[in-house]
Amino acid sequence: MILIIALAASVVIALLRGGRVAGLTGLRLRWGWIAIVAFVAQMVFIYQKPVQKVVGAWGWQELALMGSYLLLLAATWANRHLHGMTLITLGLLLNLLVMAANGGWMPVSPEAVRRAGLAHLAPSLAPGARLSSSKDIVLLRAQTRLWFLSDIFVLPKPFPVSSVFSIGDVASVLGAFLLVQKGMLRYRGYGYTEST
Amino acid sequence: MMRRLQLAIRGLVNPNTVQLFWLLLVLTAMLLGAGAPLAFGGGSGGHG
Repeated sequence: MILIIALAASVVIALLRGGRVAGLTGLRLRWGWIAIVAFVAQMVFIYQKPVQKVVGAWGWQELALMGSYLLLLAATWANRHLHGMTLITLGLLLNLLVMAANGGWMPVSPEAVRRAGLAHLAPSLAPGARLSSSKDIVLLRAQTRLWFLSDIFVLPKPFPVSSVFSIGDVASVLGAFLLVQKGMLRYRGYGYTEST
Repeated sequence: MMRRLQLAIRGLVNPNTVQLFWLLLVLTAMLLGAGAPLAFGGGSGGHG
């Protein structure tokens, strides 16, 4: 949800800066269908029933999730000519790195889950608990490899959309922000009309 | 009424509209696919 809000906010900010949504139509995306296939595949895991996992154990789900990230990597790399896409790719790589180092899921500490008020998404907050509506798994900070790349930033409960996110998420959102700004603002000041 | 409906449908199938819809769809898939926040489907609600 927080990623969608960030994307929508990017569009609103560009509009306030005098940009036009129509400006985005000129951006030519390559391999877009690969990104859609990869994300649809991920949704199977994101919305599965929360379960207790064996920490660090790799199964077909973990391999499939990593495979979807590789597909997304191919799609973002194919579009690296677009402004901001390099940052999206970097964010993806950072998330992929920390997930691959921790058994295929994004680690999040029990404290962060509690602070965000999202404990109801997991069967328990014991290490290895998968959280529904996410790619996250509960891990203690001490047992998390590359901890600084995991979900460490908390938007706590009183915030309307409480969440926990990573440096990689921030990089991807920044990349999408730049892409939207560049696309929507490119006709500003050039007398752009619908017919051009 | 019919005229308005026709214009609305024409607007929807306009190549630029389709292109815009496709771009936003792909960009959303890339962002959601690359990101791994907790939680995807909402935060403050009781059911994620």
